[in-house]
Amino acid sequence: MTTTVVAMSTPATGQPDADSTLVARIVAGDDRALGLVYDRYGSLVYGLARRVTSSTAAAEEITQEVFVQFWEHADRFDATKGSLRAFLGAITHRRSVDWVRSEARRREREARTSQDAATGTVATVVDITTELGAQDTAARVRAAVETLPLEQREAVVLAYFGGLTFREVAARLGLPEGTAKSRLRLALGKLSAVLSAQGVTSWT
Amino acid sequence: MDLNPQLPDDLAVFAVDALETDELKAFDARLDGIESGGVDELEAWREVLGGLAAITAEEPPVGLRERMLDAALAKRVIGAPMGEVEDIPANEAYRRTIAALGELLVDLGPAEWDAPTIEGWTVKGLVTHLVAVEEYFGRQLGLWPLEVDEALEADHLGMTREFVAAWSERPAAEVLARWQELTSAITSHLAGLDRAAGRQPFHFHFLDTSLSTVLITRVFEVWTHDEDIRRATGRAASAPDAARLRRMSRIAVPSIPLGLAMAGAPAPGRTARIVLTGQGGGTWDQALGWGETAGVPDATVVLDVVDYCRLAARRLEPAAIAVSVEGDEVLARQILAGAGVFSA
Repeated sequence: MTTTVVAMSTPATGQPDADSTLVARIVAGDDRALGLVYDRYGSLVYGLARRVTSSTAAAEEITQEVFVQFWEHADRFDATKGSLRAFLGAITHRRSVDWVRSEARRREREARTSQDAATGTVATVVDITTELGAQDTAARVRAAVETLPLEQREAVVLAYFGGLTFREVAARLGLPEGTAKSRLRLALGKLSAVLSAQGVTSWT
Repeated sequence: MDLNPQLPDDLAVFAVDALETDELKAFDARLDGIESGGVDELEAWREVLGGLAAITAEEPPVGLRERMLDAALAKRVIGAPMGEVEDIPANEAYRRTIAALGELLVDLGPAEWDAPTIEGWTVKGLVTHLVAVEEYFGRQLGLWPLEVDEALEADHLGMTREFVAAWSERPAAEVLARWQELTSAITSHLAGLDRAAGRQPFHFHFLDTSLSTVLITRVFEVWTHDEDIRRATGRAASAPDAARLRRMSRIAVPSIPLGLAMAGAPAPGRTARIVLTGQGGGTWDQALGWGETAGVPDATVVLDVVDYCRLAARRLEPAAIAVSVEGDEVLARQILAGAGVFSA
């Protein structure tokens, strides 16, 4: 649904509501705005949850939880501290890793990890760099990810999309734990620098 | 291993949730202690991760949107705003508004009483108008007798003009003292009333409604003149607190059908969703015909609650307000054009 943002004497611009306006509407009790936020970020939340959990059912459950929680606590979002995309992404990722780290799932994941290690594949890394979407943001991020040295790319992809702890990343890559942590920091720092240099400080 | 939020490597590990669940919780609890540079770095990294998340975006299953909305509304109903806003009775809303104006009036310098303001009045003339209104209000409350020209009683401004002219030569100090005396008596009387008294029928000018509604109408009036005086004397505008804004918006939004009718644009059978943002706001599905039940909104109109109150008081024009509209834009424009039903 398109929204017109106008001073009422001016012609309609047909621009969609800014994220900050949608959040203000949700705080005021407007469920239609929650639907619009879902339309804007539902695919991001669902896709991330499905990638991290490797489970369609878990991704549906997490997606519903993330948006219901946002309906209840949208006033916790502070636009001065970052974009709504980053906010919802952080909540989604945390819920997703909580899901994969529950004991029952941990056993499944460990078995899967052992199998991958035995075959010597780092499937997640390959998948991520080949399945990037056509959207502008995704394209910019893909380009930034491709600037990373392979060892940093592996670390960040395994930790973020694979839902591994840094200790698991270290074990998987045969590295000391301290080195795994450093690679994560270097990867985030470089991605941040590359995207900032492109004039991208937030994606709204 | 002891993780330290002050160390960039550990902060990066935390940013990507690459810790055990108990470690993440412990880290969360220690975040307040990190230095500003670390906070900036963490926020920048979270933006990066939000971008990474966009890479795996995938259309959710059909039906999940509806299930999510149903689950959300089971937790918080439509129209219930977030945040703790004090629920105050109408007499308290009036008292606070009178107190705020009282503080402003005692702060005025001698020359400021002569500053020009609305209706061709000086600030002193405007306060004299308020004196006349309080004289009439006290009479309606049964506090004192007052002879009223019945032919002018329905005319809020016209009823006070003779009084304002008669008092034009009196010093500002005398006008202020009379206003303080009247409002003190009225607020003391109102303080002794409970909420049930607020629901009793009350006649005020052309209004035959409850005392509570009249009191909130008067909150609009007194606050509006407070801002008139601030504008005339070069002071910054001063919005009511959230508790009063909530009371004001609760009577302003249901008045929209009246505004549309007064503007010659009645809209029977139609519904608007009014979303007033900011503390004291809320969401209403408002039927636009008298006595009708709201249906599916034809238009959603979103604006700041304080802006809406200034619009209702005719101290802002629709053209000066940032509004977002979904749906029938013509209807939205008519609603905004007819919003000024609380002009003072």
